[in-house]
Amino acid sequence: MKGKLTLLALSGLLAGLGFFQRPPLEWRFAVPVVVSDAGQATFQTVFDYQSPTGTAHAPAIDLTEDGFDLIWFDGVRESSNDVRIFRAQLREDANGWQASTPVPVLSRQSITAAMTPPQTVLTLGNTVEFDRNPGDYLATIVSVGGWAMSSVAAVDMVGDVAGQARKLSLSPLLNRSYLVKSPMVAFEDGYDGLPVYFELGNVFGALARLDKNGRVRAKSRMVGELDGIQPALVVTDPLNAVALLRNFDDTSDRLLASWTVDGGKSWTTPEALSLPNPNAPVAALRLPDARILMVFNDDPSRADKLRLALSEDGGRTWIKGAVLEDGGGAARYPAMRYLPDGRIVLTYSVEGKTGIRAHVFTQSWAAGG
Amino acid sequence: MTAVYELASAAVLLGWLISRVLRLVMQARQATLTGFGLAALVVVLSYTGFMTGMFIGLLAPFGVMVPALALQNSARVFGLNTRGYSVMEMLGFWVFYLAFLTASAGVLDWDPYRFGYAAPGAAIAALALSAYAVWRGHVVVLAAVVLAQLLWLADIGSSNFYDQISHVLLVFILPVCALRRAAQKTKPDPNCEN
Repeated sequence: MKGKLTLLALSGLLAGLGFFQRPPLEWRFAVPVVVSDAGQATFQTVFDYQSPTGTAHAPAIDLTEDGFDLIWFDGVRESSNDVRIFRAQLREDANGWQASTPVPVLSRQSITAAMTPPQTVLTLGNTVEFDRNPGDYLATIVSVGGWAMSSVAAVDMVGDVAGQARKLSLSPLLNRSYLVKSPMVAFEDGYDGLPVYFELGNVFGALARLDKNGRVRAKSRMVGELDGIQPALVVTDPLNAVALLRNFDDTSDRLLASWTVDGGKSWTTPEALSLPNPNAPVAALRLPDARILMVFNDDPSRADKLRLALSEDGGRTWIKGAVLEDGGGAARYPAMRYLPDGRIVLTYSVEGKTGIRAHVFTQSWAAGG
Repeated sequence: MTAVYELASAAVLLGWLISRVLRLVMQARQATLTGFGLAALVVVLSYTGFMTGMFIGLLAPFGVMVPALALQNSARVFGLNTRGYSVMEMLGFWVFYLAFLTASAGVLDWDPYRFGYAAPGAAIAALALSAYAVWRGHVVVLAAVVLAQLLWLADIGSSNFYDQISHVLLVFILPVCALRRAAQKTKPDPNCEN
């Protein structure tokens, strides 16, 4: 009995130690400082790519000191084991934006070799930048089964090679069924937020808080009757944000939204907006004048119409803007980020997941679109 | 350290699984020694190989509890007896764990798993389980909880404490053992004694 009581006391001691080592996090967004570009309305297509193998999809924007990189998954088809993450580097010089030849930077073999603990990766998908660690990635990987059995891995890059990778602890179901799509959001305490989503039976969006090593330290969810996934977060102040969600629900064809008033610690039940949604994700940014700019598919049944919209009330109502794509095949999975000078980069897949297109435009173009 | 820990846990779990199968055709001691020997060989010789990679890819993170229970179960054939678990205990934990998993998977709006990332949720679970283990005399569970706390604080394995003290395999193991125990009222089944 003495030995058991000693262990019990040790358990109590360690529980107390946890309050110093793993205290609950503060939930306060770091509101991005956005430069108003104040320039004339300009719009330029800077990248237009067709996959030589068949599929190119889910592009993300990786900001660099001298421009930006586009990363996307490329292969014979989605979830096939030849899929690799490709990267094109875009840099601006006196002649305008120049894109490098796309090259693979991650493959299932390179991530398998980098996994800690060692484990096999069969395929990979949506990948985004790990903002806290420029050059590193957060990749959707699959060790067994399909997307519903996927996990998110933090991949440390050493130059252009995967150095170490580890799965995020997101689910008690063997870390399964979480994926990424949208860029991270910053928090004041440095534990940044990664929008993720769950796809096993029940589907919902979530926000995971990561430390700089890619260890999950907190999580919140956007759960409700409607099935919202792939949250695109727009922070409006340290406590308020809106998550715009792809509608994965067959009973509804509206875009979904969920709001937080406590820094992302809790979210309202996702509700349908007036805008249509053909089961496709959106991208969004907060403009310096507090309006929200969104790129969305403006048709409830087809994904080949992509356009802008603006909201002046935190994402509740929207005014439609410029049409970017219409009738040229599915244009999906937009991603959008600011360049340091306030211009906006937008990218998405085109022609039914077979190509990647990117534009750079000014805020005034977007607002007046 | 996470890699070392998960590889060791994989070896334990693989050894236990192999030995359970071998016990169908071999004596218990022989099967246990052979099972753990084979598992150690597989993991050590091919720790970056496909088989180990798939096993870890499929089942990691292993946490502490399931490997500890596997060792407890295997140690029994060598005469290292510890107090077994009653049918009610196994079924009770099974129901509790199923509710935890389904709520965490979005069936309920409330997400219990999120509390495992920070100290309050970890402390409540650890102290409750420790106190229960002391009360019921489950020294292996008690030791596993303490080890789970140490690993969690050292950032080894999952960053969620609840992963350290549970595993999805328990969904299958617990009812099987409970049913076998219930069916052996007069003579406890040594296979499910622990």
